[in-house]
Amino acid sequence: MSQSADLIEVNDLAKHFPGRSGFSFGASRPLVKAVDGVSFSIERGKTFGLVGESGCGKSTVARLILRLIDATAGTVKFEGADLFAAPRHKMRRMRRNMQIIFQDPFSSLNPRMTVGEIIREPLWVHGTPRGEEQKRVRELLELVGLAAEHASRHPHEFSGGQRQRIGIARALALRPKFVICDEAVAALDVSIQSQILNLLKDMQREFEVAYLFISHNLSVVKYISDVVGVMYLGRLVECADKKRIFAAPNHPYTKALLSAVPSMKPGRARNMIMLEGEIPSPLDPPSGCRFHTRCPMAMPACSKTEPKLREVAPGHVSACLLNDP
Amino acid sequence: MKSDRSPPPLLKVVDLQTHFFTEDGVVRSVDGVTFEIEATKTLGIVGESGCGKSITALSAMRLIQSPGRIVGGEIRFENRDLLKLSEAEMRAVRGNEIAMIFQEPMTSLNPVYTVGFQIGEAIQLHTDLSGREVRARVIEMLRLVGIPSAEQRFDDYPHQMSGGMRQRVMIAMALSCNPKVLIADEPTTALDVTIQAQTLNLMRSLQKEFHTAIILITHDLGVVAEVADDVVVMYMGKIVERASVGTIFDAPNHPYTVGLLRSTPKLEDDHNDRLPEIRGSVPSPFSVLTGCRFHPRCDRATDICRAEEPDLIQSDSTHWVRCWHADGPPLQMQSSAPTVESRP
Repeated sequence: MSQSADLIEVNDLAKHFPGRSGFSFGASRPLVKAVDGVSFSIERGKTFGLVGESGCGKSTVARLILRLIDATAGTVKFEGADLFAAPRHKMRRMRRNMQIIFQDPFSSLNPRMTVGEIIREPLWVHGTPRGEEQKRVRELLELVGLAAEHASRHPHEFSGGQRQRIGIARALALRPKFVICDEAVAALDVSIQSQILNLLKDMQREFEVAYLFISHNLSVVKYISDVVGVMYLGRLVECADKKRIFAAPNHPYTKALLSAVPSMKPGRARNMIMLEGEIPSPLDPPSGCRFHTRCPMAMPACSKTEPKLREVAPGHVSACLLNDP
Repeated sequence: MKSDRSPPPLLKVVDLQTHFFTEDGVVRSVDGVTFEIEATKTLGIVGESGCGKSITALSAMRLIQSPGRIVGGEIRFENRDLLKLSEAEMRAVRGNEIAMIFQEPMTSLNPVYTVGFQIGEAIQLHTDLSGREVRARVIEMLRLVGIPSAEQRFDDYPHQMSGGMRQRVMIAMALSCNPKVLIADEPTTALDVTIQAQTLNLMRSLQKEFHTAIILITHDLGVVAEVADDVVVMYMGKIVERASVGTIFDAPNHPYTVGLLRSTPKLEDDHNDRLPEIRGSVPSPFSVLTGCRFHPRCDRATDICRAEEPDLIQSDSTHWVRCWHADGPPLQMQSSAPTVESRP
């Protein structure tokens, strides 16, 4: 693999939020370790799928990478340049290469702006010559399957799927190299979801954009990703090539997650691994392996030793003590 | 999975019509819906936003508010037409014989009362148990739905519980009066997948225990495949296909059903070619469409589809389809021509 293959390199990323102190006056406030030592990399033009349940920290990872919130520790490199060390003006220039598409197409578009203005805004911010803007807006609208005359309308005149297309047009306006899709299809109906997934794939083929695709929907992640990472309570517990992780998951959490997805084949007997209990609070995560309280394979050692990510096959890492020699 | 239709259905909805009279015109949210359900069976109602599935459920509970109104049809429950009952009589049915759970447990629980009180309220209303007996019954229900240390949890407020726990509380509340029919409107949509699996399992085991008939409303075809016995597919206020769950997934015959199934990414699939799409989007509910409501998005559409509305025709004992071309060649379940399954 050539040196420049990785577009984004995330290293040991952590974000600790101060929690509520409750009644413990004077005592140090507990920390919510929303993201705790996460590392992965994304190749140019590829899709990295990040899955996990509510509160696992996947959306925080997205915000950290874009520096929308500041990291507690760790580094993110974009084309080899350290994003967290970049001064403001430089970060601003780099931002044109990094965009985000949000889940809710109803709250992420300014209702007072026309669609043309919404798409033109990033062009204007990053200094596209006047006169060219109009043409680009038209091109972008057509690219995402809308019509040029839609530019003069307001977001409320569009359906959810169309709004998501507008969000995609805005994100792609500056030809970014990297786009984060944070639950980008979660709010859409099935028939519209497939249209948007196809559009995202077409755009990737056309512009060689890399995606960080964050979703709780494993079937969607399987469809769109090249590499998949699984998070649990702020940690990356497993990461591998898409085919590998779905065919031969290693971590007990990944296995349980996959087995819990309802199958589209009625009446088929399934070996469901039913997880007991709920996701523990990130305010007070379990000691040792954070999954040990729900893990069907837990051993005494799991509550004491925190497992490290280990390579279980080429390019396939998993953090489970069962893999220890 | 053919159910023999000998026992009389517990609940039968016949030609239900619920319209909304808005300033911009009349929306026929439910436009002639007919189905029935037996004890211990689960009927899945699927469809996308705005297809009328939730309005169908609310109509069955007679919970439609102005500007909506049930303008026609019957809801036959144990030989009574619920639409003919007085409001007082209906109150005795609601929550007692037919109960409902909703998608977002946080908005359907009252934040200023403890969960124990809220479950007890329903029991108090429909039985003549003493305060102490009510409390015992609530704790029994909480235990039944798998809430650990139920006695302590009795005094919890909804915000002190997680989403999955709150949905268990809703289920406990709905089942506390031992209803014959449980209507569940997107009960697991807001839950994580491992919690969804727990909740569906719980509903199934409680159904077996109490012989409850469940009407499950969802947009998630996977959930339907998992728990339903029979399936109704709705599009723009009408049933377009109705069949046993096996038939819906193995031999669907309405182009909309086929389109939904094909365009859903599946965990079993190993390809990553373009997904087959249903083109366009659902027309505005105010639009006046002649002919079949699906024809603008349908690949099978011909002149008759644009001119005349097809009826829901029974094609065999358990299969109904609303399509002019239902007798035509079977629809391809695999991706259409240009896409090829590349990898095994």
